[in-house]
Amino acid sequence: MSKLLWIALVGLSWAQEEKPEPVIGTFKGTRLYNLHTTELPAAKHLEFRVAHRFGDLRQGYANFFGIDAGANVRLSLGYGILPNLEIGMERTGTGKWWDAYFKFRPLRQKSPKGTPISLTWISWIFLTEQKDEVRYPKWVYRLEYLHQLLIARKLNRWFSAMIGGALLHQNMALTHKALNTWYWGLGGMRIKIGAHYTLIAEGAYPLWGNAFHEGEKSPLPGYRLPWSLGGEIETAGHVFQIGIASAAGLSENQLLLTQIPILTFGFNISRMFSFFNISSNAWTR
Amino acid sequence: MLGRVSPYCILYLIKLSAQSYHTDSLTISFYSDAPLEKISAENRTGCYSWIDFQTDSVFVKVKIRGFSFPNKLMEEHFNEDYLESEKYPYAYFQGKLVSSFPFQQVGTYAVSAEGTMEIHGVKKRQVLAGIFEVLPTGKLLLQGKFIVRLEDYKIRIPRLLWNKIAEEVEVSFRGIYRPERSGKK
Repeated sequence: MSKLLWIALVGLSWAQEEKPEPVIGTFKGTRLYNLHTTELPAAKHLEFRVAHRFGDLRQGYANFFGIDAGANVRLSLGYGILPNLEIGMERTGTGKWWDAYFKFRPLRQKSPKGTPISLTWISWIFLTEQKDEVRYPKWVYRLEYLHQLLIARKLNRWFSAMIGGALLHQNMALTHKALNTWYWGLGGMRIKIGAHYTLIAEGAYPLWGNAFHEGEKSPLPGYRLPWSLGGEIETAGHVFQIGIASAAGLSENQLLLTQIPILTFGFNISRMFSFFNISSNAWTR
Repeated sequence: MLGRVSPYCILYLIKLSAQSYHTDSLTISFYSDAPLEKISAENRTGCYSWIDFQTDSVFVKVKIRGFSFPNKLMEEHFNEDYLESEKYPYAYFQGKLVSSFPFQQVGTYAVSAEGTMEIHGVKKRQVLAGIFEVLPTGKLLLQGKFIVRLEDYKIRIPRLLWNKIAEEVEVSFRGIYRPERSGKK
């Protein structure tokens, strides 16, 4: 009798808990290495992020693998207003770029069954502080806009993949032959190699015409495909990332349009601060 | 003849079923104190327990995803990397009361249960000690604490973080059991 009841109860509690739940940890951080992921800080969480990129790695020991050249530093603050909405502000050393962005996730992958992917939309506005009267006769020319749409899926516990598209509009083109608006296809993935470690890879592929033509035909001669490879380690409230990138830039508008043939070493540190009150549980998910 | 027997049967069934209790609310929380990072979490919605006083059996089932952390990044790491809740979604305890107590008599009793605890897919013998308070309403209030050594359940801490996360975690539980009424549901 009691055994039967036991089985019935256990069965009942199993059946109740089969409802779809949001998939967590598609990526460890809100960024892969340079590019954004589909992840956001939870509601009422503030992410503080410091990114360092050093000089050319290929100079070897003479310049201590680029570290002697000094670092390009980017500071970011992002705040989760709602479970699926973040606003952020950043400052990048090279190019003196300020930027502000919002990040919105209308779809979130659920399991078992339910939404198969996570979808995130990010829009930036960039403003440079370079007071170059020749290049930027009016202040509005110092503005650039970037939009990204990202789709990601955690395929299993070890592997997540992401694809997406990016559109950059520059109020002032880089040269008189360059375009004002550029398009890319984006890709990224992570492979978990242990409980606390992951490998990350990302890249962008230009979708404008003549991307790889040299000389007169190219809108951007000497264009470099931006890609990066890295590793991540997580602690309870931090994520550390180290990596190698083909792009010297740190802010998205720069790194997607790199012309300098360079290979850089760098790292990111992210710390999540919580303003979340545990008693108001219903807020987060 | 049958008419005379059946009321007894029903009475007997009620008496029998009154010996099994299940939780209305059960909250399990833990606290770990390390020099750099204090970690605490609470599970209010994902815990279920059942006691049968006829056989003195105790059963507890805890949903790992139910633990809510003040810092959601910690919560994600807890699920992803420490407890691996996708692979091991529940923790269980299945055991027997070491000694019975008058569960229908108002009072406070120190009780312990011995059995198998399963966390992170690893089974281990564990003795749980708690205090049962039999309330005038017939419900039972249970409170207690125990220590979990992370190593025992193969919960790995990266060596780089040895001083960031405590190796022992204090787990507390508090719940209200009410008598099971079979045939009503």
